[in-house]
Formats: sequence, structure tokens, C-alpha cells
Amino acid sequence: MTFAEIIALLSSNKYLGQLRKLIESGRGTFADTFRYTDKSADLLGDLFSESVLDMPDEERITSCVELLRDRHKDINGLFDIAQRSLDKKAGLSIAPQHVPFDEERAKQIGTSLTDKTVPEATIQRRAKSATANATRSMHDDCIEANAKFRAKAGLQCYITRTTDGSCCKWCTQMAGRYEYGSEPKNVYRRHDNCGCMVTYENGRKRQNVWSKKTWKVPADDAGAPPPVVFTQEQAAAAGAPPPKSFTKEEAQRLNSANVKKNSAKADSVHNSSIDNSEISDIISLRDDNSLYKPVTQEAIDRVPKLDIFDDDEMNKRHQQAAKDLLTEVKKREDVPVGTEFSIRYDKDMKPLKDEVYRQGKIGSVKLDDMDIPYHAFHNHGSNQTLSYNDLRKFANSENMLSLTAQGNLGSTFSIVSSDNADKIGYRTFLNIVGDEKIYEIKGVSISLSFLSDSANKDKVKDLISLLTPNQRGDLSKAIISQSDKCLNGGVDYGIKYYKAKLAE
Amino acid sequence: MASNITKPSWLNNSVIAKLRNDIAICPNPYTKEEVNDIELDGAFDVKRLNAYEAINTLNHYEIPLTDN
Repeated sequence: MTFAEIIALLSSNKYLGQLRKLIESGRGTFADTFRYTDKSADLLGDLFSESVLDMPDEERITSCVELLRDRHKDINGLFDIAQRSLDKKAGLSIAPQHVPFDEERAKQIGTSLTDKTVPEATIQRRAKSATANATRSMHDDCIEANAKFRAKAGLQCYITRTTDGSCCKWCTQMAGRYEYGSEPKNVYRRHDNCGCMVTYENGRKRQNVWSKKTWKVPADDAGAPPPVVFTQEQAAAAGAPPPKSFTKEEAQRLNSANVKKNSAKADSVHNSSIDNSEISDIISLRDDNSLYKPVTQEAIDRVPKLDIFDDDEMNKRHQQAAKDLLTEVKKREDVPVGTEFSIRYDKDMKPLKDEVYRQGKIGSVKLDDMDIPYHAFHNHGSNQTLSYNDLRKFANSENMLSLTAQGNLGSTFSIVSSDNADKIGYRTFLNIVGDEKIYEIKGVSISLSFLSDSANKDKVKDLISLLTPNQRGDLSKAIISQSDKCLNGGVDYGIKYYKAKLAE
Repeated sequence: MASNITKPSWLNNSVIAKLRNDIAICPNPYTKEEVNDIELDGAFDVKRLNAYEAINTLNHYEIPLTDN
């Protein structure tokens, strides 16, 4: 695959197309531009990694540069549109700042792909992670440039970097809130698989640029004492361990461990991916008990808090509801592993009067719609995300504000309606996407609807059994891609997908 | 009679034709109660659910269920 073919594939990606459309319509936020950046970074990394070994050395360098140049142009263009839209809504008229393309960095990455001293697997890893990281940095650069310009224009700007709670030592040191100009020079930098969040705020309004939530910042004289900065001696006197210097080998080992840990981080929202075991859920192999895992206390303890609601108390109650559900499942040792349970909560995520856990079967459970707005929870023994069937049920339940699939091993996945959600539009979208052909087996068109249809259960098993392992892999990829489309496609209808996928 | 409800942009002629086809190919769409009975993660009759949704969607926007 040439770089031109990769660019063509990126341009024709339907998920990116939907986000581009949203941003170009003037309804996009920095959350959307980041999602766009993040997804295109992943795609670029995957496609380039697959192709790089087929390219001669010179082409590796030029392809890398041209691919990153294309991403730069695309991301800066969309960021410009989003910034103008946000400014217009805020009554501001400030020209968005553009960041020049860092050709030198692109060439360095490209040159590293011609290194004859490393194995091919390393070249592929570099092609994937280095280009993806460089792409994500383009969005960070846009944030930095625009915060800088606004600060110079007289707006009070602050940069905040927060960790996701499972980050490396370096990220922990970077975390904090800084008045623009006093931030550490590396605050915008990120390592591979970095899940840190960088925000900027204007004046008394703070905005999370990735989730678009805003909140009021207390005044400096609101009563909080000034921060105390310890000297090294004071820190030691207070019991802090002395700073530790690592050898190169120790650093590599820690980095490797952190990459593994970061890949398991609870990154709410946006970049969904589904592993192969999830496919088994979708293709009606639910009676395969090996897919299901029992609930452990460790899983209950690590259920993450998603950043779904503006009110953090609601987020905490959502987390507690998910923990309570798993606790109930764990208690029920009398039922087979993989049995699903459901429960509903009121619109404030508080318990409903007379509501009790409803026991279902292995791999499915009933949940009735209500006459009042409510939130719904059920567990997934496979620890995987919401199924296509779940989404159809959610879209058809008029008063269901959110539906959460709580994985037995702690992962949490939620689909959530906003105040102005268009569920009729979303269910029609699911209907149409579900009918799209994603694969073909012996002349039979395979779609998500086909795989989910009760009439096809035995036929699906027969058809799958005809596939070679490689063909199953291809089918899995097709299902993943189409499921991603269903989970993330709700944004056009005021419906958002949140996820916290934990390592097993 | 013209509809009093504004049609959303996603409800274009192609989608309307698809929804009408969903209705045409299914003589016994689900009822509201049957849709409520569909289980989370449970399989369902796709044609019957599509027809149920199509009828409700077209009715909601006051669009005739057939093009006759």
C-alpha cells in the first residue's frame, strides 16, 4: 500500500467522515477534534505499520513525511473550524492560530524506519506508535498555540494537565494547574500510549477540551490558603522518599511495565476497540461458557469512575451502582458463570423504590422500560462492551437515559443520552448500519443484523465453521469496525459512548 | 396533508424508502409490549423490529407508510 492509498483510506473512513461532518457543521468541540485526531492516529499507525516493510528505504521516509503532513493539514483545518465555532458561541472574535508542520520530526521518524540494526518487528512498531504519537501531538500543539495567543491577547489562560490515575512517574510530575507562561516546558508532551489530559481555560470559565465540560473556577481570593512548596529537605522531613535515579535498564523495564499498565488504563470515551472474544458474543456463541469470567472482589474494587455527568456526585453514584451490581453477581454463587443481572436507577442515579436485581440467563437479561426517566445497568460475563442488540434495546427504550454494561472483570461501558438526544434518529441509524454488508461467506451477505437475528442462530454457526482462522480474523475485523460505527455514531444524535476497558 | 413536524436532516428520501420497505416485507411487526420484552444481549427478529421502528418513525413525522 502506498502513502497515497493510505491517505485515501483515511479520507474515506466513515467514522472519521461522520466526525468531520459534525465539526464542519459548526457543532464540533475540541472533544470532537481530539477524537478525530485520536482515531486517525490509530488508523494511520495501523495502516503504515502494515505497509512499511514493503517499501524501499527512501519511500519509507517520504511516505512518513507525506502521511504526517497530510494529518497535520487535516487536523489543523478541523481545529480551526472548531475554534471558530466555539468562539462564535462565546461571542469572541479571535483568529485561530495555526501550527507549522514539523517536517524535521517527520523525517526523523521516517529515517528511524530504515534502521538496519533492528528487527522488522521494531520497524513496524516504530511505524505504528511513532506516527500515531506524532499525530496526537499535533492536537496538543494546537491547544498550546491557541492558549498562548489568547493569553497574549489578554485572556486569563490556565493550562491543566491531569493524569488518568494509572500513569508513569514522568506524567505524575507533569500533572498540575499552571497559569499560562509558568507551566513546565514539557506539559504538552506525551509518550506512547499516554492517557493524560491537557485542558486550557479562559478567564473564570474552565473547559475540559476533550470532554467539553465547563465549570466555574473559584476566585483567587475565595479563601483557600496559598500552596506550600517544600524544599527537598522539608519534603524529606515530612517523610517523602528521596529522589531515585534509574539506570538505563531499570528505566526500560519501568517504561515497559508502564506501557502495559497504560494500555489497561480506564480511558473513558471515544476510542472504542473490541477484542476478539467480543466477537464471540456478537456471533451468537453465548453458550460457550469459556467466554465468561466469575466476579472477584478485585474486579469490584477496581470498577472505575466514568466522567459522564457534569455533577461528579452522579459519576460517583454511577460507579457505586456498577460496584453494587457486581457485588450482587458475586453473591449469587447458585447461578452459572455468565448469568446476567439487570437493575434500574432513577434519573439522579439514586435507588428506585421497590427495585430489585433481575436475574436473567447466561448471556442475556430482561429489562423493562419505565414511564419515568431512568438509568439501566446489566453485567457482561465476557467483560466486553455493549452489543448491537443492547444498542437496539437502548434506542427503543424511550425513557432509558443511559445503559451500562458492567464487565465481570471490572470494565465499564455506557451509552448515554444527552438532554436533546434524538433516539428515533439513532435507532434508524442502527437499523441502516446493521443492514450493511460487512463480509460474505459462501455467497451469504453478513451484516450485524444478520448476526443478531434470532432466525439465524444455527445458520451463523454453520457459516462460521466454514471459515479458516485467517478468514475468521477478517470477519472479526469487519465486525469490530462496524460495531465501532454503531457505538460512536450516536454523537450525531446526542448520544455518547463512554468506556473504561481494563486489562484482564 | 403536509406534516406539521419538521423532518430531521437524516430522514431523507432514501431513508424513507428503506423504512417503507421494512414495513412492506414484514406482515407482523412487533408490538410495543413485544419490543419491551426483548432482552438485553438477547437475539430478536430483525425484520419485525425494523418494521415496528419504521412504522413508529414514519408516524411520528406524519409521513405516509406507503408511497401509494
